[in-house]
Amino acid sequence: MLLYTLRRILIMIPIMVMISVVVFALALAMPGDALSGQIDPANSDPEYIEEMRERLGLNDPVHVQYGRWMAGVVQWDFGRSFVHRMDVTEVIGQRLPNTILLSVMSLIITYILAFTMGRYAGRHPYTPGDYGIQGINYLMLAIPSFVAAIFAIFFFSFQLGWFPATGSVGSGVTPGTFEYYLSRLHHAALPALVLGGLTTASYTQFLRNDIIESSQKDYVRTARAKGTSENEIYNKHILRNSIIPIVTLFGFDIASIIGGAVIIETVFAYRGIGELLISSIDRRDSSVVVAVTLMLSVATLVGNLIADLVYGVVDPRIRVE
Amino acid sequence: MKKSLLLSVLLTTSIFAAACGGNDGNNDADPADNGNDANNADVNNDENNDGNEDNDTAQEDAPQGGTVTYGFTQPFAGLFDWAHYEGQDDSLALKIFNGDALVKTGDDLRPEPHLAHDWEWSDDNLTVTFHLEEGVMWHNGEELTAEDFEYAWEVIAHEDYTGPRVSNVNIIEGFEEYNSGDADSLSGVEIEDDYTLSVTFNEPMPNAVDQLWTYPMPKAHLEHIDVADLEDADEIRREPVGLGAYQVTNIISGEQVEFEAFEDYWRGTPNLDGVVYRVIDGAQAAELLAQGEVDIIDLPPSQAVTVEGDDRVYLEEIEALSYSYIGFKLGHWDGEQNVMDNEKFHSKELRHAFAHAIDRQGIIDSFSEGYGQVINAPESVISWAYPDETDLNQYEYDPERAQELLAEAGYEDQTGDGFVETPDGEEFTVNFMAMSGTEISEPRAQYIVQNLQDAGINARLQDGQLFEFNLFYDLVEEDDADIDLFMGAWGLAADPDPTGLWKSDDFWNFPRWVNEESDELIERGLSEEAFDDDYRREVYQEWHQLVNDELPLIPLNSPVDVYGIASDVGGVTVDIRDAITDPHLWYREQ
Repeated sequence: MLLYTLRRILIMIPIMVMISVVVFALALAMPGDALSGQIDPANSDPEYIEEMRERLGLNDPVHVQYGRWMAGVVQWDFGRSFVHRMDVTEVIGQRLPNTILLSVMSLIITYILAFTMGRYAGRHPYTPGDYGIQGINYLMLAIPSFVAAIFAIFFFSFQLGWFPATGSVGSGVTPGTFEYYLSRLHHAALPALVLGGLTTASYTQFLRNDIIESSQKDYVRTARAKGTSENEIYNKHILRNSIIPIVTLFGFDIASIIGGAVIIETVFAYRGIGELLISSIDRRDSSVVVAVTLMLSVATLVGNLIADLVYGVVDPRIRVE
Repeated sequence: MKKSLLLSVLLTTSIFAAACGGNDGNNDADPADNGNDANNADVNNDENNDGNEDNDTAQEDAPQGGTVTYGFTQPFAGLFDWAHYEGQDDSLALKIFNGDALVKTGDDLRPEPHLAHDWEWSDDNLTVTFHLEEGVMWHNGEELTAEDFEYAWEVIAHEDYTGPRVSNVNIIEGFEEYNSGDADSLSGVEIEDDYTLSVTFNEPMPNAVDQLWTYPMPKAHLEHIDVADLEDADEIRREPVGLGAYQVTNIISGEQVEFEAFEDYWRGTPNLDGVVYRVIDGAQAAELLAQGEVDIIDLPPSQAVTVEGDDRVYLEEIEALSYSYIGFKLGHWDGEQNVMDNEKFHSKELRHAFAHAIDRQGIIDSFSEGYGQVINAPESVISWAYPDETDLNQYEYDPERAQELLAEAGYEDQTGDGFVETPDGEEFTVNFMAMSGTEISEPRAQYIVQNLQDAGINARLQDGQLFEFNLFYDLVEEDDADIDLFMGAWGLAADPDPTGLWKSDDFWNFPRWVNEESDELIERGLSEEAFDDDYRREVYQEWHQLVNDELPLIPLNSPVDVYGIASDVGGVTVDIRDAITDPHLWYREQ
């Protein structure tokens, strides 16, 4: 197991190097740079822009720029954001807590929803309740997240007034107080609901199918024959086995949640990593774009790694030597 | 996205000094007004005890208390210092807590007294002496003095300075010596006493006060920081100090800034308890306004029409300080200057034909909901230098006239395919290049192409597509060989000097138009005779007539900005750049 883990981690290194090359090359291939939007005849003349390009090293050959950037990255220096005029690590650091809060909340929502619905549907397969749950799930899977987000804002914020429509925290609250954290939760709730609700479908279906499959296995029949109560069979014997595929999904989900957050955060004007990525692409703030993309790639890799490892932990049969 | 309609040219001092058009009446210290002040003092606000003599809180009976939320649609960078900020995202917040400058821009875009209640020129037109208001307080309790201005100029002139404002300071005498480190101070700046300072310029310029950097910096607050580190300093990013009507209490990065009323504000205690500057999603701006999540916001016309007649909201309009145009590519940039070597559009009749072929009013009606005005000169209609239209060719929409002009220029349909050929009988196709970015970009570009085709010009979208903002300007800048026509826009400074966009050695002269007479007129507009306003106006009139006739670009329209304001919020004056003029006068009905 240890050897396996180490091997997996070692393999990640060349993958990450390749990812960094691709990400860096793509960022540079975007037309324009952070300075193209700064044209201002009354203020900054072409020489100023040229001088800034020179100073920022934008005129150097690609491999030189890459080498310089990579040398910084290994020292945990991702360069400076031209738009924010700050170190990239600090820009990301400011946004990261918001995205983490959003992701955790949406995961919790996904789990609660999927667990309840999947268990019910698995225990009562081919009933109207099961079909209803499936229908809702496919519908949610089919709705693009930005449409769902706008609907949610319209319905829950504008019509019902339950949740704020934008932002990550209200005004007039002092950081550190109880109201402050409550306000942050309140602001994250609606985007998390949309983000979590839309990814519920796959979890629910996995759980449902696995429960149905397990319920016809021999050990279940044995348990039934012994007179074990139905509740105990489903909650104890079947559920434990059926959770395994869901655990695997968790790892992959880290990536898909962050991907989904890019869109959701933009619609809700929720200041997180996703929103940062979009606005940085828009403004050609390539150091931020590269850093965020790299971060998301690493998150995906680590997510997969966790999924593989946890799989081995929960299911001894799959343990690899 | 918004940015894509304009090059972001929104940054000159003269503009942001702007702020305060439209409240002239309030500033006049006329006796009747003062009496009024006294009468209402107790009704008004018992906290209003700072003894500020020229207290011009005009709406004495305005309701007190409450907060107002000002909305914007792009996250702010958080660089809360005039000398360093980059875009409107930060300048809006800056206007709320630190919007006062040496001079402000009046209704006709000329400098008017503000922090300097008076100034005079020396006889040689080189030195200007400013007399400052007394008793203006910074939020940290220091009083504003002449040193705060000197400090601001010295920061910008410093060799380690990292922002883009050097051109507003390098006109001061002694800049070179100070910038290179040979001198300890700017020799052109002289402080006579705390409230009097004079500035000497390198050469006489009629627009020197427009050009000069006019925002003070709180010296006592920032002095201990190295110039190179200023843009990273917490004193700017987290605890900025201003002298405006509101002071910063809380900053949530990229999302919102909260302000509370500053009671010692030099023009009187604000009506409100506080202001919130909040970033929201642009696509929902109108709805969020109606829902009360924001109270004041700049609305695109397509959203403004959706809340017309809604009693939760009222709309205010103002002509923007910008214009859009369709340019002809007439040449290329050779690294030093423009060379007008593209023969394709050398015929003036041909260019005139294009102008007549395009339905410019139709564009405004169809795509901007009528918010905008057709122009025939590359200048905003609100500028004092906007020429007399009666002397300009009107280029009204007339496809037949366009065809006549094409025929006069020798462009006729010889093959019978409905499109004209060049005088040499060759096929004449025109690429039209436009920016993507908003939902109207595509249909508007198609509309223009259709206009040209109706007049018999074989026009098409370049590569059959629109171009994203950055790519668009990259291609325009490098004079991509495929470009024939391109649709762009310019934001303008308050001063009408065309240098920078129009001279033969200006890189941003995108049409690459070279004309000696134009160069000469532009220079005359900045000559010493031009200290005489009438002379300068005449020069620009002449220049506009020349451009209007030569037509290196077809001016399309001067847009109208629409602000949506919550119906219970009052005292808001919309201005060329934003609606934050005199925020201390804002009030909220209780």
